[in-house]
Amino acid sequence: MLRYVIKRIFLLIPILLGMTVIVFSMLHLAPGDPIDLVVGPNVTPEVRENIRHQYGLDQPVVIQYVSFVKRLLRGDLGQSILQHKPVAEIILEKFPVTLELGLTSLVISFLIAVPIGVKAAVKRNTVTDYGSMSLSLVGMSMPTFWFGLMLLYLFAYKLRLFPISGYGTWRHLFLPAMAIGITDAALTARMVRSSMLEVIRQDYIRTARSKGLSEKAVINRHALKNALIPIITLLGLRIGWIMGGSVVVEIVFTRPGLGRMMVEAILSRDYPVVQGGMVVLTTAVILGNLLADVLYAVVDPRIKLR
Amino acid sequence: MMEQVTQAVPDKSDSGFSEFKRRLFRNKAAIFGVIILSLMFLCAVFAPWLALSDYTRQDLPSMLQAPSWGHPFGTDEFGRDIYSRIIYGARVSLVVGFLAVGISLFIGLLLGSLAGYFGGFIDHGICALIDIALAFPMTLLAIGIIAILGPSLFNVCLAIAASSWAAFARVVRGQFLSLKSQEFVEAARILGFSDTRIILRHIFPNAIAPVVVLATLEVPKAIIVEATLSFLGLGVQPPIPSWGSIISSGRSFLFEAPWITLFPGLMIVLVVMGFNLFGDALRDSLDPRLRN
Repeated sequence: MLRYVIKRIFLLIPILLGMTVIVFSMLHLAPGDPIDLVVGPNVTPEVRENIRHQYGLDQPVVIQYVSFVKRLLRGDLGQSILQHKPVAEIILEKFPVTLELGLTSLVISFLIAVPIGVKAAVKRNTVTDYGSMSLSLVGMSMPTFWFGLMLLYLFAYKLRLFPISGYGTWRHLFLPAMAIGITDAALTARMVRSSMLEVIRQDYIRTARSKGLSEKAVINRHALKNALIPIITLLGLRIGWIMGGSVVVEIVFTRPGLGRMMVEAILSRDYPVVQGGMVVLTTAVILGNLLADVLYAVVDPRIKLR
Repeated sequence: MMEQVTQAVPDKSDSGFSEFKRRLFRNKAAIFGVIILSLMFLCAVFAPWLALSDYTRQDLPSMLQAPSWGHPFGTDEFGRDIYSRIIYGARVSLVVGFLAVGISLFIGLLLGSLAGYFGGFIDHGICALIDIALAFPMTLLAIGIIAILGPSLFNVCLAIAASSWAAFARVVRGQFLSLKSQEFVEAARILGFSDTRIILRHIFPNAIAPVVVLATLEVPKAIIVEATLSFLGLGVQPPIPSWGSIISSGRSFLFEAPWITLFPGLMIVLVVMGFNLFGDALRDSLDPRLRN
């Protein structure tokens, strides 16, 4: 088991390096001289050269990249140009807000998707199945931010059940988490359904039935446990989607998270903040995938053999 | 002799095609999908005739009006007709959907077939690239790329293609791996055909089905990402109306004028649903084994 985990961690190294190359090149591929972002246009060439030297921008690109990675490993994400604060400090403040939303959405998504997917599979080709799969198709087709706006209008403005914006209590969290959770559940329910259909066909389910177990026991104890195994991998893949969703939903509900921070930074060309945000979010996603893979191997020992 | 070898193939795929058509059009969901998509194409192509007014025409006295006979979907804060803007917006969504997927398809086919056909270190290198691209969540990567390139319609397509090419490359690679060891490819190689000819004439036609299905299912994703970017102000820029940017401007008036937000969103749902229905049906009829 430990060997498998170590192997998986080693496989992450090229991916993380690739990510740093992309994030590093953001500053260099962006149009214009990076110095212009720090100083106004009316400074003497000498001052510009001084700043260029101070930021190490006069070094060859490869050396700049190496020192960029070295700084990353120390947890140094640079300085925000506009806020004059270390980027790491800003992110540390915003990350819990995004993480809270992401995790809550994930839980909501599974609480909705698993019962619906199982029900649809057990009642295959009935009205229940067609109905829930049609609903899931509609859910899959909705942009998360638009669904969020619709929830906001209906439940916060018309029915006044929840606050319109802000951050703090569970009532602030509920609508954004529902917006992501429901659209995500639409896809997950389909996966649960097809995984369940696969399992129901197996011999051990027939054995369980012929032992005289009740249908409920067969489904809940024997089928569901096995059907959920492939869903764990899916969980890993959904983390990326959910993080992407949180970024946009934070804008809709004006939550002070990483997503809003990044979009504001892009619009004001505060590149160090954009870079920091990208590094943290993608690393979170990559680690989430790793966690799901390891979990998968723990639940299903056959995986390690591959 | 060469002619005989190449002529035997179209004959067989012809009967396969009619079988495929029969299966596809027996599927009611597919027909529904095709109807939605056809309507959308008509909107995009005939936008100037279908629109009630020019999408930029402002009419300040009639701003923020609720839906009525004159303005079926209401008006926005400048008195512009939402219905007309949505009709024109169909152009942006479809252009971005197809262009982004076209670019991804091109890159994916190229890298996927190189990796699958030649193997070795080429394969390792390309696989590493695929893994890196897939590790980025699509929306985040697109946002990052727009941060570099700046917002525009073409840059939005590039930003989407930057993550979606990997899915194509992976599928194409898999197809090539399984096809290259089959007898008809061996035969072509023994006949002394060049690698280019074997790839283009012998393997490609047999590898195309799953790629077509993937393309149909990637277009709606591209449409959603475009809408998301435009909503964030990082996509298509005004005055060109995109469904995402209409929603973005509607957001400021969500409580007084919810129709600005409601209708473009419904259009996105409808188009994305059309592509998903059609793509699922396409997959089922091209490969009935995958049906579930």
